[in-house]
Amino acid sequence: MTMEERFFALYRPEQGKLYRTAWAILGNEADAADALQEATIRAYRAFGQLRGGDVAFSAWMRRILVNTCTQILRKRMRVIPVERPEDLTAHPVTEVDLPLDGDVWDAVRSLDERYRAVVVLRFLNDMQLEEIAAALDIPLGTVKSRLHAAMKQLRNRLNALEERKEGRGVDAV
Amino acid sequence: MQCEQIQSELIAYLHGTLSPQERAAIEAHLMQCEACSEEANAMRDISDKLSRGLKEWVNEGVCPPDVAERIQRSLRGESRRFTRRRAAAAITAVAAAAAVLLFALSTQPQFAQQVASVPFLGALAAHLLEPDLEIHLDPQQRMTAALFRPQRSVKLNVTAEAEGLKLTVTAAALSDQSLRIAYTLRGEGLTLPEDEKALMPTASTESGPLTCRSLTAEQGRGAIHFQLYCDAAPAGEAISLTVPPLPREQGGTFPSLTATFSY
Repeated sequence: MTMEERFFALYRPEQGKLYRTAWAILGNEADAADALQEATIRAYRAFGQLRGGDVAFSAWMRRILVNTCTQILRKRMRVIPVERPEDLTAHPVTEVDLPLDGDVWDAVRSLDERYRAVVVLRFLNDMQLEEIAAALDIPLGTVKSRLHAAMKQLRNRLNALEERKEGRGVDAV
Repeated sequence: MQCEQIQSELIAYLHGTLSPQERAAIEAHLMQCEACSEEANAMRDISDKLSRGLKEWVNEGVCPPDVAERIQRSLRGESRRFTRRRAAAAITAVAAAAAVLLFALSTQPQFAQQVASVPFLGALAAHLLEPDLEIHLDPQQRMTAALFRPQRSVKLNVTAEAEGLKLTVTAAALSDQSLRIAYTLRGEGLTLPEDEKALMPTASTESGPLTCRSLTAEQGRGAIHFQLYCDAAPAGEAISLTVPPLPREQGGTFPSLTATFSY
């Protein structure tokens, strides 16, 4: 088996998950595709240095992808002015804002970029708050306040959705 | 501690970033305050829901076929480059060994003739070691090239030809701030100049020159493929790309060529 074949044999089953991980962090599919391509090339170049055998591949590849995505986010965030808390207040939850199918992802993707990134890195990638602060190059206090505000918004959205669903259920009976 | 203060620290508490003392203080409060305890439970619930929901969504993911194909294609290119570099490294090692051997042999008169007939491995190795070039006039531009995300791209086939050198502009892609022009140069004996910056072309529109920031080059069979990153031109304006005179292997230079296109 050539190195390319071996890499693909390990990589292919992960590709769909990696694609969605990048999409979740970056918030759109075009950037996710670019980040995945970049991360895959980086991983391929470093494949010879992978330690721990084939079982270590999945976590190793994901780490490279997350690093690539946070690098893009850092760059992107640099051009966004530093926020004042009032700029990031929750959008009022209206019927239009509500996710249609109740998917957690639909609720998460509707968050402001800075909230979404923190939520995804914490709950999808299980990163510690300090790690998130370092990856996004923001103070730990900012990570906490963003996470707190994001969770409040998500709670409202998901609760409102559940209520709406229950309402629909009643109508259907 | 006041409820307000407790609730602002709940995130840190739930995500394990507090000192044991701070943690104990919060736990003591939660034991006796129903409102804060409910808030903590609600936060825990939403955390579980988010973690589970996001992981399920990711695990069901399928990479769109066009993205998978694009990645596979780029990896094939990477693989070829890698093999070429490895081959070059191997040949360098052989060349070094050969040099030692030749030096030893050349001290023996009976082998003198054989010395002349041995291929010049060093030159071959140098040729194979020719890196795929990346020229960034500003170090920041390395990331611009790596992270270039085209919003619109157009395939082109605009050529200019003179004295055995052919310039073909093959594509133009536009991101929010940059323009990427892909072009190919073909010519018998076309070699890369010693000074890489001498490869840098110029691009201009009727309104004036476009600032060129980065150039990447990849040597293919009988051709060099380039990607130039420059400032985006106003839409619809014709762009003239001029490549500088480049050296010929047999001596002298190819002429400068200009191709004009719009996208």
